[in-house]
Amino acid sequence: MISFETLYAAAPALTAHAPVLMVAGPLIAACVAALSPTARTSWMISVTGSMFAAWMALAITGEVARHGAVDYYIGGFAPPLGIAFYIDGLGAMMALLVSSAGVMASIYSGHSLAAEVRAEKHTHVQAAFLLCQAGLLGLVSTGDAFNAFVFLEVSSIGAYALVAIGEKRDRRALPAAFNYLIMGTIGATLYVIGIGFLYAATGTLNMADLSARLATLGDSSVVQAGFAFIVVGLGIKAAMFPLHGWLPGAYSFGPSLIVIFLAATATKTSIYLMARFIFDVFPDGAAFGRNFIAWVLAPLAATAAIVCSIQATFEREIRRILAFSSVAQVGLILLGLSLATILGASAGLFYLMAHALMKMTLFMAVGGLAISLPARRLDDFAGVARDAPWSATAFAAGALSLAGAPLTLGFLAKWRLLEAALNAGQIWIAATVAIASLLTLLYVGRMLEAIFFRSAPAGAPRAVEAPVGVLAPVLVLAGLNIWFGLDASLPEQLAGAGAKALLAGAP
Amino acid sequence: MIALPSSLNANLVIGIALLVMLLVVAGAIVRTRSLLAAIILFSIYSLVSAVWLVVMDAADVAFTEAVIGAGVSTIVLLGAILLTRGEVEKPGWRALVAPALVCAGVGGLLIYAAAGLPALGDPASPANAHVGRAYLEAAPKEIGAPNIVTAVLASYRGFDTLGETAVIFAAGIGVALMLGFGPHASPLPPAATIGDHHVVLRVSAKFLIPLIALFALYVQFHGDLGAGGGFQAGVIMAAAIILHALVFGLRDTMMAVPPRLVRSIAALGVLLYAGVGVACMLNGGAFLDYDYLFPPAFEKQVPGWLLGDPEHAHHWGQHFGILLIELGVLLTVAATMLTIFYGFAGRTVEAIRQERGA
Amino acid sequence: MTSGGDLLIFLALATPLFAAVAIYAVGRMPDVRETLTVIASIALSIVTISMFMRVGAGNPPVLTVARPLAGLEIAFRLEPLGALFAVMASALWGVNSLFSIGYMRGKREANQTRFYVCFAFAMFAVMGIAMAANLFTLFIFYEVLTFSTYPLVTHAGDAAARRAGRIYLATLVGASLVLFLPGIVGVHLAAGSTTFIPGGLLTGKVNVVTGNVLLLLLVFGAAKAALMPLHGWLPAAMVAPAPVSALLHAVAVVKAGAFVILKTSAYIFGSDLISALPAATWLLWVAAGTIVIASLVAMTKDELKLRLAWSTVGQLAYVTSAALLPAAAGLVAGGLHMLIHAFAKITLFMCAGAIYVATGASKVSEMRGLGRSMPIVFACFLAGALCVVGLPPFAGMWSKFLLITAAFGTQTWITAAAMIVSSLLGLLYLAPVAIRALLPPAGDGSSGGFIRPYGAPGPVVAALAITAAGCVALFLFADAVAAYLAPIARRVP
Repeated sequence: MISFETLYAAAPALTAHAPVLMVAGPLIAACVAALSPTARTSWMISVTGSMFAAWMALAITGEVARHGAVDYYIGGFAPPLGIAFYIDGLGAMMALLVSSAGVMASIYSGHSLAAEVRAEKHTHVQAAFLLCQAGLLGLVSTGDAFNAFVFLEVSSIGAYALVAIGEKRDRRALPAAFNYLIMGTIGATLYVIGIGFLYAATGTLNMADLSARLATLGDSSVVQAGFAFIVVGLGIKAAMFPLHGWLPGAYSFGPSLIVIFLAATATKTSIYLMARFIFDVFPDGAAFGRNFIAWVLAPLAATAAIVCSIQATFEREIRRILAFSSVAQVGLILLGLSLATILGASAGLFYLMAHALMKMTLFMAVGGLAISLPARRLDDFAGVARDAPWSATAFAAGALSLAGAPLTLGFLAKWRLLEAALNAGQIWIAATVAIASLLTLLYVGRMLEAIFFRSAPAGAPRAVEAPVGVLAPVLVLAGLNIWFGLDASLPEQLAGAGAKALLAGAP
Repeated sequence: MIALPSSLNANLVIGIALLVMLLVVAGAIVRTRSLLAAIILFSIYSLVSAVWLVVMDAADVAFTEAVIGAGVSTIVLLGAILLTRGEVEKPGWRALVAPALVCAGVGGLLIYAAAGLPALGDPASPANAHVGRAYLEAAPKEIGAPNIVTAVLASYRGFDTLGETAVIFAAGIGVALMLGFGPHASPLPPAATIGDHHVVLRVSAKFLIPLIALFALYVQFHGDLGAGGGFQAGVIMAAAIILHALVFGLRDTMMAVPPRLVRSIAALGVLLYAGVGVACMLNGGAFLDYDYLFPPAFEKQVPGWLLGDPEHAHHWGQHFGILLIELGVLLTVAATMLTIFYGFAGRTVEAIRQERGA
Repeated sequence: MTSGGDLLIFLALATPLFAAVAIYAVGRMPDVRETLTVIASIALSIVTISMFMRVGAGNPPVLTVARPLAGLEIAFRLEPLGALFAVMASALWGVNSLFSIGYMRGKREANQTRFYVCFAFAMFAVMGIAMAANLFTLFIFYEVLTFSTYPLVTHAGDAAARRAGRIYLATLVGASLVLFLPGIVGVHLAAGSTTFIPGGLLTGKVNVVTGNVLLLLLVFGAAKAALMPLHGWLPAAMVAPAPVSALLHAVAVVKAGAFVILKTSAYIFGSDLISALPAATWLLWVAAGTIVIASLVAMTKDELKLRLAWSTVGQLAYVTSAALLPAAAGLVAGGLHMLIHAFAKITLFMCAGAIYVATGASKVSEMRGLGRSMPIVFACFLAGALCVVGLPPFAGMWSKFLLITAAFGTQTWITAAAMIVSSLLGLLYLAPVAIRALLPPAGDGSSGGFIRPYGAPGPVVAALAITAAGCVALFLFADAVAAYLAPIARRVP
């Protein structure tokens, strides 16, 4: 049993500034990486920066577990005048998730990037990756609505560029990145318009202050429009059905480094922010909020879970299968959150972490295979298990977890979701989860069948097992899928603390 | 904000006139099929909105809009259309349905929301009464900068500004990754395209470039007092160098200001900004708390007259802190603008070469 | 005093698992591979028999492996029903291995290593199911069983086999995900755990509506029990080689379904709750319908294995009915029937396999007069058939007797009637197969040629003779088994 108090270890002087250091660390590392002379040094800087951020995230998680939410006033100015970081159980969970994904992706990039991007560009690729990471970490730790927008942009701009450089392998990366850029920018713009309305209505940008003032304000057209803009804007960023058009392209054509990182974190952090607004910032009694959850969020999420799973079943390219599956799984996460109970929210957050872990494993394994096998279609992966057994095994672990096979984390995630839905009396949500699991099984079965049970056509290019530097993080993640399937106390505690923080005062 | 009724009416009239112009220009952008015309119209749109922002008393924003919207982005877009066709096909009506619906939805929602907004310039509106008022009251005591906007942007919300600088840095990295590396980066001599008939341009440019650079520095240091600051100054500084490239050719400019150096400067700017934050932290304050910019031990050595009013001793740290981070912003913004320009211009040169070869 | 008990559980799981790995490793040497299978089955039988005796002595082995979430454990605990199931499966695995060796070599089947590996995996899953201490653990192994038997069903690899495999997976996995899993989650939600507790976990914890829903979810979700309308996979799975049909679709897989229903009834609901639930009555009607319809369909099938499969569908519904009768006595009868039917049906399937491997005949109409050349096989077939029908001196009589008595005792006329009718029908569709083969009408001795020298391979005949003998032996010991099972019918203290 891992208890997350035991993970906590940092010098006290660092702990005091951990919230801001977690963001400033990768940011500074990004500058240094851009300045560094060679690809190799920039990689080392990237790993160091990510590890530092993860260390700080651990320190914060421990601190939050012991003493409750952490505040940090940047510039020494108390909110609402200054910008304050506010990290509660939910923020800590997200920070830990993002920074661990960052560590894994950066270690992995040492070998994978060489196959995908020219060496002279590596310094800037690592810089953009670190910026993206800093942005996401800032997004989950800030307590200021506008500051969140800034960090959303920091992370997105880095991500757009990184997706676009996938063009070396596939020219389709360019339209995909353009699509991502346009959709992402529209999303960010809508979000900031919403923030503008809220500012006009309340005169503040601090989330806690916003919440307090909105509670006394009651409904008004400004607040409602603000809500709508924020939710739609973040919905685009979170790839909420039907605003997910950018995701399959971006996940299919970007280099592995960014795809694995985005798959684990990008939509998740937007979901986080959306949940913050829906449950924390807007007053509980706001009628439009409750109606939105019941009549818009939950039905759309259920549609995503079903429709996109079916789409994934009919896709031919392995990464596109995984990408559509991501949209479907986002639907399941939102379904959990839409229950608006402690059990539901913690199930949603549990699923969020589980999905980050399994999708990262899957994309990493595919990326590892793609180093030697420049293939995209599922058919090209036929019989890969014979040539690259370790990568294939890791893929299988991730895939089984995705399908919800017993003894994996994915199974427990589905279990918790079912339990929460039944507990809330939402039979239709439970049914959606069960049917979506069945559909997931279909496309997971297709992938596993191709990789393990079909033999490669004669004369087809053969894969070579991924190098150790790539394999090690993949196997660690694959192992975690199983480990947490047997003992999920760590994600369980994190999700529980997150849900309590999100729904303080709710049933 | 509070003005005589007659003057308010004049503002209102001008405001409405400008908004109508914006609407007309926006309509023209949508209608035109020529990309060149669209870019010029975008530039006009930015200028008109800058004027409108001036009327709204938002001089800082107007300034930024003018230099970035009307200035740099026009140049970048012009560079971009050299790489592509100058015309776009007329889209079928089916392709317009979805965007039209989205625009109608967003517009409708905006109008719906506008009904509930407080009146323009209402001193009792939440935006003016809550945090806005607090800034007006606290800034002179806590920061000491005469320009409250700068106090807010650089100190109270300095972290946002750091983030925005990082955004610009990231954009520069993105463009550099896409366009600025590899064989495309090597510039060609401008050959005979710029002939002797540009002599007037060259002579006037020689006059203008130092003046523009000087103006950039003015804008930079004036930020404490009035409209201005690192963003605007950075763009103006970049404009001076871009003018050099336009008139004297890309190769000479790239020799004087090498792309690699420019990219490093962009990183150094953010590093400087974040470094200020870390320095404050090392001296016992919070991140970006300029009051702790200098170690307390060092501050004791500073003669009292430098610290000014003993009651507001810390303004010294705030002043220097804002100055330093604005310098960081200037470096990053100028370098990023140049990186973007180099990226597009380098590609353009390549495209011209290919055309000649063909 | 439970020392050693956890070791036994560990061994029961590790032996087949280790066997699977070892068989895979020595796959290139058929003799070593098959010796390993036999040794593993003997070792497993020894382990399960020790556990069986410990349970009988009131000292059940217990082992908790992991606790993934609060209230959710991967844990094992033997009780009489599970012990009986484990002994039955492991012993029949040994017999079936003998049969497999003869059959697979005789037919020169391809991919034999994969066959033995999957078989060992399936036994691993069966052991997990038998020993599971809660529904959650049971579910895990239930799924493992589905997936490990999928390659066995599609062993032939042709289009028909793949189609059957798809039906197999779609029905079993679909039902377990859409019905069984939500049912288990519901139980967990209602009771805070899923542990099997004598007298019923849910007693006093659910109202009638919830209880009805959960009962329906769990009984239909255990689609391996082939209750109509979720029975389609069982006839479809008959494309598999005879040893697979014999062990898995007469013993392990289908009995796992029946076992799940018995356990759910005994330890999750408890007979008190079952008697209070209207859903149990509805399900009894469904089961009665299944019994009669399956028997009628079986009569129309000329393909012998298909006829046996439909007979299995009917016989499984007996166990389901037993589990749902409002009397605890039904549970004992159901457990006994599970055991006895396993012996009888495996005999029948092995006979079908023996006939097929020796003569290539798979249709009943082709078997007239074959008894002259294969008297032992058909004699054993007759024994199995009469055992299924329930005539003395075969064990089937006792379980049928107990079942029908329990049905009468609770005035469940429909079940009693269905059982009587189907027994008569069984006599009509099973016995004539053997009788016509052994005593063909005069002048009708056309068929009877062996397609391989010496007829059925020795191990095949030996295996089916052993199980046929078992059918008789159990007639004598049925009472002892029933006494052993008695504790499962105990009411809440």
